[in-house]
Amino acid sequence: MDDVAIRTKGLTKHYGNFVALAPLDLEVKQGEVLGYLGPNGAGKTTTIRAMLGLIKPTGGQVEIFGINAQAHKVAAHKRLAYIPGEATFWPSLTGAETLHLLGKIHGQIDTAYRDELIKRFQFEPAKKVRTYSKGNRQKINIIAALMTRADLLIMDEPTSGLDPIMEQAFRQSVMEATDNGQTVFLSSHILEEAAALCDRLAILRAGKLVELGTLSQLRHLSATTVEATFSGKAPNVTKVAGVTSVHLIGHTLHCQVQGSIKPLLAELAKSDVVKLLSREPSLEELFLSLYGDSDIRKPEAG
Amino acid sequence: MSTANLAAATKPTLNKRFRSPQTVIARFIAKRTAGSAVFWAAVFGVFVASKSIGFVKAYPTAHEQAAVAATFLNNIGIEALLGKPHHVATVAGFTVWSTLCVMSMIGGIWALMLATRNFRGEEDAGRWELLLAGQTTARRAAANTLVGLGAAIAVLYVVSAITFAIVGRVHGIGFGTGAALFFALAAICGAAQFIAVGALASQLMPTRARAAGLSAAIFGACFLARAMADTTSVHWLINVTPLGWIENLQPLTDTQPIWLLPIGGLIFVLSALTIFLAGRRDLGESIFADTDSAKTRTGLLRSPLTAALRLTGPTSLSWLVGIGIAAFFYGLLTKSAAQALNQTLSAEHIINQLAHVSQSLGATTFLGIVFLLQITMIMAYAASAVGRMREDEAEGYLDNLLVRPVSRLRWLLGRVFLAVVVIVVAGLLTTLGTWAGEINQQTGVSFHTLLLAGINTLAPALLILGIGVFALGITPRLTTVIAYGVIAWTFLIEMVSSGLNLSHWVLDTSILYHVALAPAANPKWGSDAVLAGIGLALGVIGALVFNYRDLEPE
Repeated sequence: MDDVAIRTKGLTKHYGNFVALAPLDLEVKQGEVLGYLGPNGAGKTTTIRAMLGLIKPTGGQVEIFGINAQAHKVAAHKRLAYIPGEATFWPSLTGAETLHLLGKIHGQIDTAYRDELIKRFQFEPAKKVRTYSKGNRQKINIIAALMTRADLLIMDEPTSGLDPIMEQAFRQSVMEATDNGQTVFLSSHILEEAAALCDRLAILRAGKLVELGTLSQLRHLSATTVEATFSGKAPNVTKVAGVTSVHLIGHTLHCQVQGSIKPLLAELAKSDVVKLLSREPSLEELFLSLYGDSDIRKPEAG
Repeated sequence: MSTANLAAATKPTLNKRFRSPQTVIARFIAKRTAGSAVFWAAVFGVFVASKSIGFVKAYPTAHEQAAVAATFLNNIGIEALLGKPHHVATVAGFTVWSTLCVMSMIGGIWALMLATRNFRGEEDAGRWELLLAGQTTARRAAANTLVGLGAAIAVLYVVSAITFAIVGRVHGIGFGTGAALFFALAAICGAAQFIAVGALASQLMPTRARAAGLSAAIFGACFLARAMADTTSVHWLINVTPLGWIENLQPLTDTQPIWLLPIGGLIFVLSALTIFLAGRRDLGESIFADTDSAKTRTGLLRSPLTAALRLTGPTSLSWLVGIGIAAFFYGLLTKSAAQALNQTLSAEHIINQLAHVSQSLGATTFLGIVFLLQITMIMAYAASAVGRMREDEAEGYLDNLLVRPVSRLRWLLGRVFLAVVVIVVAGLLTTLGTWAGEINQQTGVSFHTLLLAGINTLAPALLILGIGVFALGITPRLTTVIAYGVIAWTFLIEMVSSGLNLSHWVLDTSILYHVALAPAANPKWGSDAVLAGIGLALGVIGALVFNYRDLEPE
């Protein structure tokens, strides 16, 4: 057995002519935290629902710890826990009853850890589910998954509805899980969260995996942001090799440089530079650079 | 795009036809409910046509009509079902007597489902919150919803009135347009009253299921009061129960429009209360508030099957109690109904030949009708059980189980198993209820006969369950529509087949056509086995497809 927690081979999902997920080949190592990023409709939830067998893939296969997750769903699900982005539970049960039921069905729970999570997330288990706010219902999802100490945690926008304090509690819990050797597959919209928690990032666009790597690896794929302030008139750098997105605000020039920065520095040096800032792109800028207007997905687009 | 063009393109366009935002909810509800109103109005039309035309064809002379009318008099079993007969020796009287109560019941049940769905159901789903965020208030939104539902009732009335007027013009029937319009008004009164009942119940109860339960309980009480008024010495009850007021209208015969006053008054009072309470309570709350917290009770919360038993148990129990009470009530009426039927049968020279079983013959005939109604109720339970399975998938509850080590087939088979158990218990309760009701009446019907008749109730319900599971697998969003649609179709064919000369191809599509009227006739076990077998086959196909397909949330 290898050390792969999730392996997808050509995993595909079509709805008629619409390709919700193009053939996806992905491996998540055991103990790794993989961030799965993409805008609405990119295919993140489709990927997760196909992995979990809630929808039937059009093609390809999924292995969870080497188990064919389509043919042996129950065996695969014994090794994992899932946090969906939307929480819908039986309204007549209390939070405690819901956690009890979900724990019994999963088959293994760490009750001491469950109690600790209830305190950490300031969850009131005696209330009936129908009285909970969205954030409190989401806490049930989070506690129910984490209390199993499952080998693999699959999360689909898990902090949806949580306040910033609870988001911190969630991050702490994920870090505990990874310290414990658990694998995490984290689909998220919150780029800061993904940057803070994930070992690697996979970026999905229009159903296709477009980037996969560590944050530093991905940064090399994108442009460096440069801001230069001049005492006088700023030089024209639009024709300099690798320079794009040139904006001039007063005496300050903003631009991005793909590849070597040397030609730009040479051009800037010809003028009187009083201040020069250069920095790597944030995950947000990386993300945005991958999604121009032209990438907004249209349903009819194949 | 230039700035000017952009501005022009993004400028909100005003609809040339003025439509007030104050009525948007009413228009939306009306549009959404009009289709089912047209459907039920068409059913009413076909029902009335079949009874009136069938009566004229079967009994063309006044003498024959008087003779057959005599068989309906003083039969309290039939009166409990259809109300007191008035002028049943005439086409108009027979038509009203044989259809009005049934239409009031169908309309009432449809209306209370519609009202609780559009009030508490929308609130449960969180959509009410979106509406209230618009240019409206809770009271205005409630009034709008009532207006929208009122529009559905208006559609029900207009289509029914047109069809009744057309039927009235058929040769030999001969009731005028004015009389037809009043008859249609009487026919939709049950629906109108229970729209208001459902709307108020939605303000009182915290969930749609409970609002529907309260409305159904009120409906059951009204039916029981009307049946008691028609069959016992407490005749005054007819004047204080909503279904009794409808009977008192006596359309087409001794028209009594004065009874529209209490009907209208009830609708007005309940609607006003609904609007008042809607503005008085917080969104998501109810007048009879449920406790927000509860002591943890983990009983039965161990597996998908036991959890389903706990979560669906109260609803199943309500069905069983209703089925048991109905069986007991009709059991109590067996002797009187049997005596009336025996008089009819003696006219056909049967008594002379079968004197020693005369009492039993009338009793079994009446109980045959009772068991037919019980079969319909048990089939309705089967449809509701499969509807609940679909609801679990649509609402996302099922996701909670299937992302854990639970297979789809295990979940589905567990739910089907529970439904089958309830169906079997319902059949047994039908036997026990009627037996307990008629035990001291010496009707001559043995427990063994009733037990066989009880077993005879199972096959149609199992077929409905199979059809429902098939629909759940193949076309999940239509599961409830298909399951209840088959029952509605079967009931419709059963209601109209006596009046219309339907081809056997049409009759064959009715489930009840293939079921013996036990205990009036010996159960057709072969036919029952085929029905159950078809149900099983459809269920297996449905389960296999369900195991393979995508889950489809709402």
